[in-house]
Amino acid sequence: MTDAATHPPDKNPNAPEDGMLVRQVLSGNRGAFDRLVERYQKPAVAVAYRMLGNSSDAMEVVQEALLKSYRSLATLQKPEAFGGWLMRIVSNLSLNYRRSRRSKSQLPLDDLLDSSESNSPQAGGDTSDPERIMEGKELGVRLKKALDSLPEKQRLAILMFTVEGLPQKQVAEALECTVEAVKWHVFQGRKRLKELLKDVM
Amino acid sequence: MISQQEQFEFLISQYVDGTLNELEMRIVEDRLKTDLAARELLEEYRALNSALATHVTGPEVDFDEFRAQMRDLIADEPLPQRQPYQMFTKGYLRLAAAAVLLVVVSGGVIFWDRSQPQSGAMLITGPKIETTVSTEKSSMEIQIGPAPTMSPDERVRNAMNDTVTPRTPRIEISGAEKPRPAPSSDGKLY
Repeated sequence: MTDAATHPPDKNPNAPEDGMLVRQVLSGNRGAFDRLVERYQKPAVAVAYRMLGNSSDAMEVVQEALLKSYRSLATLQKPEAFGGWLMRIVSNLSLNYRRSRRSKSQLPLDDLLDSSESNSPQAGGDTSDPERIMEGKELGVRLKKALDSLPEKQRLAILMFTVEGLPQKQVAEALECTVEAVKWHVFQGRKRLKELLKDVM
Repeated sequence: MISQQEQFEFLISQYVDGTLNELEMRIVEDRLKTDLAARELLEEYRALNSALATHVTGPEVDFDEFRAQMRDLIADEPLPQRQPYQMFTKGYLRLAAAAVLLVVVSGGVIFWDRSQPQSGAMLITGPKIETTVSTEKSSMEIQIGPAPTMSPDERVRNAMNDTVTPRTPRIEISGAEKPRPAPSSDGKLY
């Protein structure tokens, strides 16, 4: 087993563990929570964004999730499991948000397709070749549609583990399943994506 | 039941992620050396991962600003502090529940056991037992024996008179002085 399964996604290997930061917050150090925000804001926003389809909803949900996690930090049984716990709050709140939006008959403002293409101008590899760019854009559009068609757990497992690089253990905590189940969800999701995209890949 | 091909594909998926153990890694690498289809499969998974990394990106967000907003929000919040009762109940609640369960179950078993009829009761039959009780003043003899059997004549007589001869064990008491009767429930001697 490699580091990917156990370590939080922090570039600095000497960074304090989540458990230590949680304990510091509980003993009165608010600054430690800022470190946790810094560590998890990007994957949290990315997951909420993929579940909700637009960035403003995603930011709102992540803000709410972070506040909720701060308020109930004392109830967290295993401080070292903060990352998985937070991602679970994010995914649950996103699901609730999506349901309430659906019940209010509001259509999701899907800006997924526009923004990510502008994020990846080199999607086709060579930016000077318009044909390659078109191919890359088509692949991007198809990939996102295929990803959205996956069952919830497969999609979240791929997003959290493969795209955002969260450790499998945290993904397992977020999805409330075992590490082995995460591996299986990732595999099944990839296999389905491969089938759906076989004509463009 | 998953096929061998699917099992191997599952290993390839984990090989791409680098989450295989040494033995599994060796199995995959040995197969890759000799199996062209396995190498193509590996390339497909790598291409998919690369496409996911390139095309599935998050929104354009100013995370420094987002973090600053969070800092302001958190500053307005009271500090999350573990309540003393939470510390107490955290580990001991389960233990207390287990103890209560144990007491309830044990009580139930004991109650059930006592409410059952004595299954070990035996009817003692056998030869006549003679017991001699000696007191300072006198002595008496108690004879306990089997119930007297009725002769055929007695049976006919009883049937005609419609009476029943009790079939209780015969107790004969003999001695210089008859024992005093036991006091009744109200304490009087009759």
